[in-house]
Amino acid sequence: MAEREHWKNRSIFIMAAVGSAIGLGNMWRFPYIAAQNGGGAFLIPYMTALLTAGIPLMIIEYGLGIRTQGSAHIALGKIRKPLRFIGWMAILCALFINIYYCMVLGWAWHFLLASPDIAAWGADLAASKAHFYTDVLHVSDGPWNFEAIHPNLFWGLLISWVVIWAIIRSGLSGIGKVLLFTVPLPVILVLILLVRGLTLEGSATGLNHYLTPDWARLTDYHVWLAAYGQIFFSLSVGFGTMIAYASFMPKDTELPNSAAITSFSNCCFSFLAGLAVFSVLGYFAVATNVPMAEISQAGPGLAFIVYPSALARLPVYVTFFGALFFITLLLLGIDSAFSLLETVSAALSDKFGITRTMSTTITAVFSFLAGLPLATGAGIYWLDIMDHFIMAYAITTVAIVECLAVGWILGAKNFAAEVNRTAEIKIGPIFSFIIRFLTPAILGYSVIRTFVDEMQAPYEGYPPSAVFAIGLGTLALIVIIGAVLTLVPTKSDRENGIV
Amino acid sequence: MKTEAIIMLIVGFSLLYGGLAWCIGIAWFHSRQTGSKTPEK
Repeated sequence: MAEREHWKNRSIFIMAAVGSAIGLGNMWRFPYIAAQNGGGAFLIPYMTALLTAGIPLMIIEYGLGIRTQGSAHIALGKIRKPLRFIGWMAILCALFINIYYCMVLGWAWHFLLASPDIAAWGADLAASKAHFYTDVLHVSDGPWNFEAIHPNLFWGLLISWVVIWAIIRSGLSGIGKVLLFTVPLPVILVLILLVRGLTLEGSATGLNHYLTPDWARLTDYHVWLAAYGQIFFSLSVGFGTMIAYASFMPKDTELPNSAAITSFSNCCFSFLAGLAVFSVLGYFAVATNVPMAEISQAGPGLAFIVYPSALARLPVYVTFFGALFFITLLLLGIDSAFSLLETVSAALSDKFGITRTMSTTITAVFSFLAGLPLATGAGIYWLDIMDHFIMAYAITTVAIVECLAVGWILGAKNFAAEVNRTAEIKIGPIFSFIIRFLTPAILGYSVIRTFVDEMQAPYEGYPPSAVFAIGLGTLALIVIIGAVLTLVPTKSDRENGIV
Repeated sequence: MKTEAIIMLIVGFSLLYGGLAWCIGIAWFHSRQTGSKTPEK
């Protein structure tokens, strides 16, 4: 078996993990979730979720990767052979997420190129909305009306894949060099946006909306679930990426503190991004005399409609700040996207013994072709439904099984003893309680609640046929391909003792 | 800005950035005491 590549040092490994964890969601999801769930008071459940779910899950994934020196299917298969199926599920989630994540990056490329005209297309919310849905996405009237592959989306998707393919193909040393730019640069750019926002009239209105605490909301369990959901989905756990990245570290690597640094860095960036987002939105609300509640949005609506429209109203340097914002989005997305590609590429190398170049190229070409339907007029519907089903069901299931496998089968005490050998911060009975009971219970409840809601009304009011075919179809594909990869033994599987 | 928003701004920074600084401090302290746990290759 070829010797496994390793990160140059612990700092590069942590930087890679931070780059993977910090993505578009930190910029476009956290600020909205915080503002909607108690404002400043949201920090209490958020910190609680970070300490009782985020960091423990990160420790588990780091631990699984480091102790087995293999991808998710090997890491879980070494606990119990049938669990390698869950490992493949995680890896396939990474594959499917990357298919649509690169399409979102494709939108960002388009917006970056369109930023010189931001004052025109972002003149007001209606114009910005029309630009996004009509000029960029060419949205059709439903998920089954594809119309055509639109050139702007096609090229955006292709550029995204070429960029991340080239980065991953360059190996860990190449990735390490890229990370020196893609991790710190977004922080600097967000700081520039923040300073610009704070110097605008009305920024206090936005920051009040973001930070004023509504303590009464803390008695609402939905707020606590939102905090756990935000922590869980923003840390890149549950799709094998952290396992793959950790597998490139020596076995004596320190774990708990590395996990804590990664998790805290992710949350620090979210908090900072919230300030940058809401200071500019506050200015926009005052300038257009629109209530904050009406312009406060999450997701693509914030990043591609509201925020650009707010930037278009800046007194000076509109194009500069527009371009700066879209470069920030691209930088945030690129290291998350290549971490997802690395997850799949490393797993294929581990499974079939093929070279990094080969596995990366196969994955990138397949993913690009599979992403072409997302470059059509129906793409946004498909993307939204796929994202919901993968996140709400597949990823959450993987994370629950990881907790239970480590907590009950491997044994939380054994795992903690192993981890504590090199730990700077020791883990103990609280960690054991969290991974055996608390986190699986919260995630389990979240899955059941989503499923019950789904039964009462189809997701986002889409036609049931679309939700069924696209959502369940994606999950079925993950299960079927996962089962095939589990059941087809390879030489590497036998060497690893997982068949 | 409202006073309570400013307080939460300070609290947020203290909790999150304080937590991060504490963790980095521990890593730095250990690397000084025992040498890096994962030395450069």
